[in-house]
Amino acid sequence: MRMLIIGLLYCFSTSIFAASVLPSDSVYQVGGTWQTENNESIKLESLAGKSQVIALIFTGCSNACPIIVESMKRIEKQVPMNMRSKIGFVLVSLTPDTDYPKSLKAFAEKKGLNSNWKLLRGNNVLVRTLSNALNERYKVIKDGDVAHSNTVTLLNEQGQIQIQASGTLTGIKPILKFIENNR
Amino acid sequence: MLRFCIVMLVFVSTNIWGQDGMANITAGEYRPLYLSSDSPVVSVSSFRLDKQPVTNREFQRFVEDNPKWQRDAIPSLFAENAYLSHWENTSNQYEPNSTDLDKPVVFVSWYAAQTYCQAQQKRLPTVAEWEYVAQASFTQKDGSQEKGYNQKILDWYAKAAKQPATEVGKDEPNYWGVHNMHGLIWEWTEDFNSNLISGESRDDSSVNKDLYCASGSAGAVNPSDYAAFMRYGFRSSLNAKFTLSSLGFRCATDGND
Repeated sequence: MRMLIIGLLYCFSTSIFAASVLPSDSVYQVGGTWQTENNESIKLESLAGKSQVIALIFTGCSNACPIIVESMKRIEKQVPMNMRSKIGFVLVSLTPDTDYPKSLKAFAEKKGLNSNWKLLRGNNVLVRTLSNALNERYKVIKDGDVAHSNTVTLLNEQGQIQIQASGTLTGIKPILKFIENNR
Repeated sequence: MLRFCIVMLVFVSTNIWGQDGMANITAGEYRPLYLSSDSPVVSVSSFRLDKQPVTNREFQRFVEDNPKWQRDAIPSLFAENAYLSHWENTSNQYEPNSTDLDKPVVFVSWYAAQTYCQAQQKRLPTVAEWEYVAQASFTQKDGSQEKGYNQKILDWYAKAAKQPATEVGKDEPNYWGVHNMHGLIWEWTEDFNSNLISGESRDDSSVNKDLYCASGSAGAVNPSDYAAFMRYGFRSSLNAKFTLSSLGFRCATDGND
């Protein structure tokens, strides 16, 4: 009986502990409920558990975004085989008013993104908060056009920023090096 | 007739000045200082703005209702160490000094300001909204050309930053009935850091070529508006987790139409 109570207490305490286990500086502290390209609702903290390469984009973007996505695909290709399941890729829409899950899905298909990738849509407050947490800046200039930082961020399994780099094919080299050194 | 007039007067005044401590701001146009004179102006839709900055008293209530935002509980992602550092540690909790209750809350990060406003079913004003209201003088919607008005603001900027010494709402309200837009604290805005960025990160010609240094002032609509330049410079130097002794905030909501 005593063991049972201790066991129950243990389970109880670990479940509470698990909920608050995010480090104080984890980007996942931003929280909130986000929609995926498959129209699922997920909590931001559900990205914890594996490293994530994350960038802010908008699907109507014609200049920098395709380069950011290509750079991230380059990272994906160069991740050592034994680490492939430990690194995910996340694209967050800067224009949730127009980037519905359907457009995110179409964007993912057009870019040939596999199931290692997640495309997320939040509300404007969440997006601004996440952007600030990633030290990124953006401004919606006019309908459908956004000026934004061209940054790719590597988060560790707990959502802490490991390294940030410019989202171009040469700019991402520090991220590749970081992954290589920490394999 | 007299009764009708009084009713009308009350009706009109509540419409103009708003209730619940917020002012109704009618829609208008505002030309950001960094745009050249032939660039389009920014339209500001009607909205409502707190007449006064949020006080220590009000923020204390929020923190009591939302313990996650206590000085000793806030995640480091959301604030620097100086968060609410002007509050006193009394019997295991932090609270403002009783003489500071009606002074504007400072040492708050963008995250804390944003969350406070959300908790009141409000939001932070945008830069455009804030500047639109800030350009009003005591008597005009646009006081930027009014003699002596900019100088008055600059005189305050010239003073060294120190803890706000006065309580909110003690100054003369501006055209909109809004207090303390100048002369007390700097204020967070929703998109405080979105001004000096590059459009699409590389060939952002139209967006901000006029922003940089000499061209910034030469191409500006009103180069004499140093006060606005200083606000832009200050905002772009901020990071959302910064907590400063002279930086507070007020909240806004969308307008009725």
